[in-house]
Amino acid sequence: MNKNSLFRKIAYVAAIVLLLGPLFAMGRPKSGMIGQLRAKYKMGESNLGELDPTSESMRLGTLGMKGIAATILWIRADYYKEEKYFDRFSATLNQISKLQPHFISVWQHQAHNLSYNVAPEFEDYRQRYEWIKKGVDYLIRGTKLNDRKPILQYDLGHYVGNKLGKADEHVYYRSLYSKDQEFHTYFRDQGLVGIETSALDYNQKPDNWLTGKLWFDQAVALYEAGATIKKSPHLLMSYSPLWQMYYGEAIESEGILDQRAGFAWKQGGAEWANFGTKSLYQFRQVADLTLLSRKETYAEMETLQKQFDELAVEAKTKAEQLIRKGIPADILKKLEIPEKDRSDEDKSLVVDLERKLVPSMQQIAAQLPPSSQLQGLEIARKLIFLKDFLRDIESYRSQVNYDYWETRAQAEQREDMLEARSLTFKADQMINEANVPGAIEAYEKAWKLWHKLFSRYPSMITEEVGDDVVKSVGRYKKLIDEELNDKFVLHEFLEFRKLKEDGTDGKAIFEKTEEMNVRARALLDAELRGETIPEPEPAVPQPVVPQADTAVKPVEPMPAKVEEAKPEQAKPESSEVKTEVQKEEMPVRPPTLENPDSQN
Amino acid sequence: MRLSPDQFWTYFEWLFVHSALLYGFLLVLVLAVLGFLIGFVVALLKHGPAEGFLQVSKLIGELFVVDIPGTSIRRVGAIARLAVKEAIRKKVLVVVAVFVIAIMFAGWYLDQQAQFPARLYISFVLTFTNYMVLVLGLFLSCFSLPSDIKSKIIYTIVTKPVRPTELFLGRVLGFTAVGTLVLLLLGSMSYLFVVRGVIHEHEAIEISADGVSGKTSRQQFHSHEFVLDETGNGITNETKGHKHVVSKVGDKIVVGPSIGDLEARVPIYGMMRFTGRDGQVANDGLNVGYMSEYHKYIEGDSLCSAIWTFKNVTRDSFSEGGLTYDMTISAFRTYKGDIVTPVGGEVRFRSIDGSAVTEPFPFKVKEFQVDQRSIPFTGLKGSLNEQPADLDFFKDIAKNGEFEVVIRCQDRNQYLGMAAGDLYFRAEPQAFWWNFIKGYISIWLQMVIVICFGVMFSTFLSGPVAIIATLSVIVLGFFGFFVDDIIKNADSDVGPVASLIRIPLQSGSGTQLDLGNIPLERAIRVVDKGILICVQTLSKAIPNLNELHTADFVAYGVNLFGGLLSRHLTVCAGYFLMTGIISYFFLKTREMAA
Repeated sequence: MNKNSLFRKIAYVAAIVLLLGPLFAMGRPKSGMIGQLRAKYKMGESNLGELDPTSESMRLGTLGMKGIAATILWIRADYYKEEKYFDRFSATLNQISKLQPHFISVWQHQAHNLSYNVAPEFEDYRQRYEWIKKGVDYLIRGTKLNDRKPILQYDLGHYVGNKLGKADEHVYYRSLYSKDQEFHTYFRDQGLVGIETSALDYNQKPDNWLTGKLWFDQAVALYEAGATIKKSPHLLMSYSPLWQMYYGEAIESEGILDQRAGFAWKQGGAEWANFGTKSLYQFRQVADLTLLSRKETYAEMETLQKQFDELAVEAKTKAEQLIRKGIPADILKKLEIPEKDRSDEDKSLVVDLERKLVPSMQQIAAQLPPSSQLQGLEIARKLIFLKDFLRDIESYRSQVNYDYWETRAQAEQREDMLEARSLTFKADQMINEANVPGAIEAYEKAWKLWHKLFSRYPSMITEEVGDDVVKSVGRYKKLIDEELNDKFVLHEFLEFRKLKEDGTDGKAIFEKTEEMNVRARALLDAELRGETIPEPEPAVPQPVVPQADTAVKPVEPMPAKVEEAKPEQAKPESSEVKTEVQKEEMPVRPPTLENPDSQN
Repeated sequence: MRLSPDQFWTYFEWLFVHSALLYGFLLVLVLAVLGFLIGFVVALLKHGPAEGFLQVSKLIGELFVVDIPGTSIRRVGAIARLAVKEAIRKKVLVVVAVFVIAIMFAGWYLDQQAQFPARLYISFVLTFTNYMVLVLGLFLSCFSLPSDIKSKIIYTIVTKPVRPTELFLGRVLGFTAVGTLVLLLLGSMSYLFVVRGVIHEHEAIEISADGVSGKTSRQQFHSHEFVLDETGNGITNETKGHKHVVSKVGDKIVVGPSIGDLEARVPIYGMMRFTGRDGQVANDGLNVGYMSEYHKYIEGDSLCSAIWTFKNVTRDSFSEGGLTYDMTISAFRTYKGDIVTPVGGEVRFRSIDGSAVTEPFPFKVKEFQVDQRSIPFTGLKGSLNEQPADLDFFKDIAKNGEFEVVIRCQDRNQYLGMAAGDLYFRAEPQAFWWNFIKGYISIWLQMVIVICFGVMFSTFLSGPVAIIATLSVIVLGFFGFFVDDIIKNADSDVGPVASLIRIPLQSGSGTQLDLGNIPLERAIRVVDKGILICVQTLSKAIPNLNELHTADFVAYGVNLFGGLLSRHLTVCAGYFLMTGIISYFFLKTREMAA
């Protein structure tokens, strides 16, 4: 019995030693397998960010019960928030972050809680500001412990820019931030490079938009250095220039309506253009996708389409005939039914049939003579590739609202724009000073300038700029105490906004948009050429017919103003490329970036 | 800080008006009957009915006739001394060492940038001490008797002329003495920790050209702004829960020590009710949609109001400065409106019969801050018997110390939120250190209860089992309200048996239990009801340690009411008696068995 016991003990010891062997081999700090894997994937504590002894000791102190402790703290934090024990809530969040320093969602979620949920609970906006700062501080502490997670810098960019700059209290928040020297110093101490140089406003004080921009720059730099972020690159990269433009917008709203605002927009425009040249990713591992590669892509597609059309005149007919052969005769007969006599079922069938009868490029190429078939197939392949490429470009451009911001940046730099804004601002101020005649006069001068600007940049009509002007028009109406008739300078502007807001008459919207785009293009081209052309008369809205200016040769609608006027490009084409261009001209209200105007 | 209306009761209100004495008596009666029955059943099995009854009666008789009168203070003292020696031998001072280490590193874990650092520090030290001391009491009390029994040392004691009452009293007093000593040490260190953490000094900087306003230097993550009056004195704005007195001494501006963070306000609370839109007593206040129902709301620009009734408020409670009152009213906006100006309200003071009413005193909400206000005792503008008059507060309004305070919200479609504890009159404050000590007395009471239970369980259970039993008492003591919540909210189909059946059936608790057998379902409901009643009754026999936890009073600078502390003392005495009697019977029966 004792012998057995001894053997059993020896066996246990042997098993322990045997198991410890590989454990030791694997666990050696540097040469062990686990150590090597940790180094390879940069999973070591020191790779993730700064080492925090408090956090380490707290985690050790839980004796492996970190998960349970964290869960209890989360429950307590929720309770404190619910019962409005905000000081305890904040203290509990600190403890949670010590237990889970590398769990990024903790930093994000709880910082949002502090800045967006707790802050509005306070009645005094100064207290709200302090709680927004707490959320910002929480994120900053997260960045120190997770220096390869640019999402935290990305959030910081949003909090400092958007939360302080777009909330209802933004006027007060911006003013508090501008004077908050301690906060600026804190940012600098936490490694925000440039807070004392690049984030300064016209008054040489840090601005929240420009500070937010620096955080986005940090996020982009980290991303470009190889760190991963759960954001599309085009969205990530768009915010820095966008924040520069919001800075311009902010100082304009505060009455800075001179070259300082113009310069802010100029810089924003340049950065936006630079953003357009950045490679967002490798399209099918072949081509760098940039937002400004649209122009070259269109040109290349046009050339290839031309070559293909020339090559495949006969082949196209053959391909069409071949398709017709494959369709039963009774179905083909549906095409012969006059449109007015077609039933609903027939209409749907005919639409489907017409689509089927258009041969694809591969089908056309297959009908080419053997000598040119290979060349035809190659062109077809390239065209399909370019179409897909272009679709992605358009998609990304639309997601970041590229055209709108490009146009806006150009418009905002103009002296007449600054003058228009200045007059409107002065008129608004005169109302506060009870100077009614002065306000009316200033407004009336401003309307002429706004009319000129909206004629050249119609895409601004339904955006923020248009919204601001509508508010001012409302004030003007109250001053003159009468309804505005069709003689009003901005009648066309107001009518078009009504049309868009109503949104039911799609055809009218399209036609009016096209008309305004044609006219805008002509006016801007003339300006580029240095020609003086008569301004369009304040429009008569009905009927919706382009108000052709005979002095200016209308050009085809082309996307935005980045396109240089090239006669050969401006020629109308019947190709698919043309169709794409026309579609692109549809001034559909661009989707906003990840809701930059939102606030809580 | 959250206060429930029952915390405002005076000791005698609690004892007589709210029937604490009656409930205590009933509990004693039920326990006595139960104890007798259980004892009788055990004796019946051992000795038969007649002998059994005789034995139980003899046992009870001995308690009152022999053991209680014969209890010797000297012997109790001797056993207590032994208990102290034993505790010291077991190195209880390790607890002090652990505490020292904990507060040395507390700064690492506590948010030094907290909005109210004093509250955080005080809450931390009191809560941490509380848990430490309860654990200490648990280990001290549970192992002593079982280890004596196991090592047969108990026979050397029980063969001496020592009574079971003396054994229990000696042990409890001994362990309590050790615990008290440890608590004194921890309390002193905690006080130093809090004071050291909060005390700071500023210097006046950024003084304006005219020398009457400025800013203080930045210390402990904050600074203040100040404006001096024509006499050269002033008070800074409140930051981090405190202010500083600023005064001009010669050419220099001196910033004094902080005030307001370590204080013990003496609040006089009233009972609150609400009126609805028609101005009649109509509702319990409105719920604006928050999960928490602590605050109730009144609608702005309507006849909705919150009315507090105060009693026994006398002139003697206040200093010459006037009638001081504090408000912590919150606001709920249905629209943002004017962002800069807080939502406004008004306060009126009126006599109980409504004959004297002051003019409204307007205020703007200072959310999450104590809005300290005062009114003079005399010369108050208002109306007396519907005629304009200058009112004397204690003569016209607070006749016999009773009066009402009415709050209304001024802004249309905005709401003011409040609870009974959000408006109180502030009598002359007490010293913070004394309030701090009272906080520690609460901890001491909890410790005594735990020691009593530990000693009681150790009279009939082995050490580890006694630990588990006492731990269960502590856990149920802190979280016993869950049981109440469950039972209150439980409908007939969510009892333990029904829940057990629902698991394999994957049936949600919101649905009716459907087994296709009505008698069986009824039987389950009856069994569940029985179990729930048993659990509820048992939970009442266990001390509610949450009620005894008074750290919030100290942390929020509210004087711990004498009435509340007296209640806690009474409760502790009750448990001391209960556990003492139970222990006596167990020790006596063990002795008989030996």
